[in-house]
Amino acid sequence: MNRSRVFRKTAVTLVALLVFGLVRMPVESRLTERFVEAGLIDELPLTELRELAGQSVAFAVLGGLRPMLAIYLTLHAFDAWSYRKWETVEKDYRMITTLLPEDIDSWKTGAWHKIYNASASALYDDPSAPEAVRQRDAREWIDKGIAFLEKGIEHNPKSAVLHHDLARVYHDKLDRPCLAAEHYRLSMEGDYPKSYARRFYGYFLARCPGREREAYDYLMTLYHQGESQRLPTLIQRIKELEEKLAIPEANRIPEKDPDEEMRKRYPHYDQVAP
Amino acid sequence: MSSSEPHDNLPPVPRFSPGRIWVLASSTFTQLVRMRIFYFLIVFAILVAGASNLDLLYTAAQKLRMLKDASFGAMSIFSWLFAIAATAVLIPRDLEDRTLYTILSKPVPRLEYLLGKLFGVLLTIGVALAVMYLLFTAFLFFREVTVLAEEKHYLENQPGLSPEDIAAQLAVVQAEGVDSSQFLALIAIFLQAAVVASLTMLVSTFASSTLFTMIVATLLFVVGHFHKLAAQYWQAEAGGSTIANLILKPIVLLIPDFRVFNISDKIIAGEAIAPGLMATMAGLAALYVAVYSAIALYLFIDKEF
Repeated sequence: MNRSRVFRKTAVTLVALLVFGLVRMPVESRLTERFVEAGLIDELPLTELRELAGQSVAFAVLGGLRPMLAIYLTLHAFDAWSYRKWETVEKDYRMITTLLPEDIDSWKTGAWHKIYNASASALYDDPSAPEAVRQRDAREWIDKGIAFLEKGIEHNPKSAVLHHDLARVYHDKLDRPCLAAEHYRLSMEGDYPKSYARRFYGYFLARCPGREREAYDYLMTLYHQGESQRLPTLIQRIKELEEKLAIPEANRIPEKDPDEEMRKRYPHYDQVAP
Repeated sequence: MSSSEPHDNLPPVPRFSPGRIWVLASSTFTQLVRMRIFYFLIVFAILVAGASNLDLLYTAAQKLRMLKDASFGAMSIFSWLFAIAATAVLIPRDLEDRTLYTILSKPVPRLEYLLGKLFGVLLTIGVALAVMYLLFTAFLFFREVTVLAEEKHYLENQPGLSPEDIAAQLAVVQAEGVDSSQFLALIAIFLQAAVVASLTMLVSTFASSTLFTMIVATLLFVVGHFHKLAAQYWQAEAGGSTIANLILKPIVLLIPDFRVFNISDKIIAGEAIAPGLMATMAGLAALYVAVYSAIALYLFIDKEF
């Protein structure tokens, strides 16, 4: 075949494919939109290209076999966990969540390994390493876990569980009460929220600088809902806020600060109290 | 009497004959069956039997769900992989066997040859999918009966459960059982395979080797699942620049969008699909097959062997 013929054939083919692309594009876009509305196609968040490609390829190539591969990887990660091979655990959970982005438990467990297990391992496994290095490595694992939970939330924005876990990390590991309160609030708006998330939102809002008044009003609303809400921590937070906001004596709640009672009973209470 | 007289008495050869296409399709089917592709059905049966006895998951509904996921996953992999492999080898195999010369020396238009080959592949995929679907339905039916009986026995022995509670729990299990909507998932898989086969045929008309055809078709199939999303991502990264648009737009237009055909997972998970949407998808698949076949014919019509 001479060159001009090859060139002509190639050009005509490309033009035909482009024209066909222009014709089918609106049909495909409409069909995709309707499939997304009907829940037949997942809307993947445009977070990063590697993740996007990985997820799409997994859907395309494996289809319904993804859960079986995910089960194998979960067992593999369990094995790696028992040997403290944290990089392997991390890689396995990255793949598991790529295969099954809708599986909340995998996001939760993958983050838990990083935030609690791998960070503790970095902190305590090698006492010969300098303290600063161990602290830095532990913090890196916590940050990775937080990023993992955030990615899980991008895929499952209505998951109360993931917001709840993120909130717990913020108050448990990083002492960031404002962020903890925000994620407890978001968890309340998600699917199947925990009943105590309402109180926890108020507890951490009370410790968020500048939002004390808002927290006081919110906690008082809970207080007025009845005895079932008047738990020791709620009373204690309200007492703290009454002091901070200089609430007039007449407007204060009649309950005693539960901490006072505890201090009387246990002299070292302040050293262990949350 | 002239020598041409006997020929004059013969009926004229029709320019286009569905009968000839059928002969070519059925011979392609026989050719593929002789390649022992149906051995895959044994692998499928083992996989389905294994998945139906997999007790890693806890609930009765999850056990049935696993069986459905594994079965349709295997059907999907078989169909697209077979569509690529079978279509890629057909023309080179005919060349190697010299069957191609025999066929094209007869009054068989090249369009009929291509369509016959394509329909032969689709017939083989259709038969294989139908057999797999029947096997799957039988396994799922028996598994559903067993799991429901176990679940009923367990629930009836639990204190404090009303008959309504038990019925509601059993309904959750039954929802994962045999359902006619699963047939629509099978059709979606078949439509995707049809588009893959026609794309592979198009590639094979200009490819230099079977391996090249397989690699290019597989790449296009895989990339076709995310190229539109990747283009959106890059466009967002580039701040919607004109240069990015000029580069990305042709790529999006040239590569087929396989994402719209990849809905079988969701159908078997219980998502309903409106008949109109199914018809639109089938129409789109038919359009792909028609256009790719037409372009394949354009490239193949004066190809010298």
